[in-house]
Amino acid sequence: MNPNEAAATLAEVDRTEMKLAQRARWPFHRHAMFGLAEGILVAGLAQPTVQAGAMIVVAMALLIVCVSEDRRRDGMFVSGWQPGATRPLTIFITLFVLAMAAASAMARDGGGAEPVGYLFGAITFVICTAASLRWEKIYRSDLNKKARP
Amino acid sequence: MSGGLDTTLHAPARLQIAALLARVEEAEFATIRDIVEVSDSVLSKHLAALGEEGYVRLRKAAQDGRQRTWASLTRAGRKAFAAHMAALQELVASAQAAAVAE
Repeated sequence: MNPNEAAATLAEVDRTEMKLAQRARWPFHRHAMFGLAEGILVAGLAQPTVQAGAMIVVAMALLIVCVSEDRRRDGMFVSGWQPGATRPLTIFITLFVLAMAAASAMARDGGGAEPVGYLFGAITFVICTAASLRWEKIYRSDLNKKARP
Repeated sequence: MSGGLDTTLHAPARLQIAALLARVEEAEFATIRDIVEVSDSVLSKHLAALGEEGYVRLRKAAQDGRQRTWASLTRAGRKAFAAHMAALQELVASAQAAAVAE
């Protein structure tokens, strides 16, 4: 293969990535559903055992719905752990949720419902929804890059 | 394979399929066909070739009452794609460097 052919091939790959970028748009409710799942998970950890178990099941079900809806709606599934420019944000989201989950679990006193758990859950919902929206923008802009030599 | 260039990925459509699958977890046949802009039969042949090489994993799943084919890049496929892309970029970069030096 000569350099001209190589350059043309790389341009085709760029074009494919740009076409993928055009399709990589998720509706707001998809981001909110992800944020809600994380928020419910965090809030649940501060609650009494039975309630916590139910909330964790609901959170997991929401995540499963997110994935299956992505597949049905888009004909593809993009993992949050996708290599590329989105990775640092994914790590941030994971660490943030883990920190909020730990704070929520520590707030649990074994008695009745713990209101502060809901506060942690609400904060997690807002941050995760916003982070998910940002993730989509970074993913698209990474696909649209034209920085290849 | 020669100098990082992979003969299986040499066909432009196969490289485009690999480029698409490298950026998603899994994609459905029709989605790949629409993005790569090839016919069903051409896509089937390329996916089969990539599957035989162990670069692509194919699975069938029922959706809305129809059987659909889903494709994902294997670990070997991701590695081969990355090496092929690096070789292409090196080829272009060395040609540009030679042109500047002249």
